[in-house]
Amino acid sequence: MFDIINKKGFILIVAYLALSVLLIISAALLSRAFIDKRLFDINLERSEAFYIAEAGADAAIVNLQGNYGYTGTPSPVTLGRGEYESIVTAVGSTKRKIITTGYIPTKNNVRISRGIEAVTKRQTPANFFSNALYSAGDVDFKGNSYTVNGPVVYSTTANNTGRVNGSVTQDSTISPLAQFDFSTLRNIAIAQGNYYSAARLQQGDPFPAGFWYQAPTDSEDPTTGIPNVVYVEGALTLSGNTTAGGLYFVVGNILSDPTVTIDTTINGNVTLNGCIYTTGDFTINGGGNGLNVNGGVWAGTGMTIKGNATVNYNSNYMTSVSYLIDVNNLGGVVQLYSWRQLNQ
Amino acid sequence: MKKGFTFIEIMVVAAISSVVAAGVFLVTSSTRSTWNSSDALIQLQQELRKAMTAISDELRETSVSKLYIDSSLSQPFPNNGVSYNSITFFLNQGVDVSGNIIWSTNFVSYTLSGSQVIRTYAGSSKVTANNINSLSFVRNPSIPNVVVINIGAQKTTPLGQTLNAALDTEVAVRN
Repeated sequence: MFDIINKKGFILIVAYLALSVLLIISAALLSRAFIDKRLFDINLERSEAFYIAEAGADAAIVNLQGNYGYTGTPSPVTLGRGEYESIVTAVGSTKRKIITTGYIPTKNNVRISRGIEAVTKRQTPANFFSNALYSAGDVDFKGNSYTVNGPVVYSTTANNTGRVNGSVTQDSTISPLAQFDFSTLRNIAIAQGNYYSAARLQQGDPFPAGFWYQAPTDSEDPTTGIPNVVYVEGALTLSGNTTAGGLYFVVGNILSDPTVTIDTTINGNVTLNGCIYTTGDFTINGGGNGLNVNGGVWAGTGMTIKGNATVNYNSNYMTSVSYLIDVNNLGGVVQLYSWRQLNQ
Repeated sequence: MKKGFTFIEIMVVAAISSVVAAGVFLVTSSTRSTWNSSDALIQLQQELRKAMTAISDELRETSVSKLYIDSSLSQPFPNNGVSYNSITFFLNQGVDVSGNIIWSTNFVSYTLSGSQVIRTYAGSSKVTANNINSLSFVRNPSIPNVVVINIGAQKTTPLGQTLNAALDTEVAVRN
């Protein structure tokens, strides 16, 4: 009979067989573990690339808020374990298309990339043109000689508001102050002869005397007129017995520095028929009995009204300003309008 | 001449072998059971993630004005806290030269059919995930642009053990 039990080397064969079985099982387990790990890594990196692309789109929206002429990142920006790159192009007159791609680990050595297309549009905040005073900081009324006829909106604090003939509302969401298409407004001001460079300010050239650049053809409808758009690239101070008018943008070099704060100060018996938008502080040091502002004021950092100062809200002027901004698509807060993924 | 084994020796060897075999069987049986249930649970979680990722990714690209409770498009998806077991919506396909959103001409629909999540687009259906036993969508009045998605899955292992898993998420509709 075939006596395998007593053959020499039998235990070795059995051991090899057992080892082989164990090796096959181990190999199968290892293979599965490696595949699972690879799948996990791919999913992880896909998620990372997506969130990096999202961050890139968010960064582009923030940049557009400061400068609506922003065109995107000049080169890939490193973020976390990857990079993002944004390209911003104009779509129509008010919208911007942001194409952002997130790369893992880099654009030049990419393993995973995800793309997002976001389209933004600009909208003026609600009730932006409905107030006598609109401050993205505080409002400090000093003394008991001032008068404000119209609503007041502020972001942080307001004190001594007893002589405001209108609502006084705190709204922290109005800070930072909404921005406009300053490049186009500057061009309008240049065309109207109302562009004030720092040099022209120093020369002391007079400002427009009235609000209207072109008076309304229908006296009942202020949108049929065109206001003087006055673009001021330096701090504005109006003093003495002065009368001026128009829609003033006191914004300095905001086109190159979107965060610049430029102040506006009115001293004494000054009457300004119109509206003032200033990125910094607005101050009235009242004096005489003149009406200081007949229109409305927006300020980026705060307001101080003291002395014999008067501010009246003028709905005709504001309607005209609102129409100018809307019809030319020049304002205000950048908002997400459309969003989709590009390469899922 | 070699001697054989005595009966006692064979019995002792058989008894020891039986004990060892029983031990090995218990260990392997327990390992197999654990393996099977872990494997099934992983499969369930993978199915849940597949369904959730597919639905969430597409749902983000629609608008609250483009959401419907089913493919008849007869009823917009209300933000009343009521849960529905299907959802239908149109996809953002970019913007035209004027910047207006171009909506897909066909709608996407996710429904539960038997134990499968079915995605329907342009009349053709595809299985998104298997072993799914519940699918629900809810919009709440407090956050109307958010759709809450709940998906449940169930699977029975070869050894007869029934396993359950669930996944919830909230998706902000972005357009």
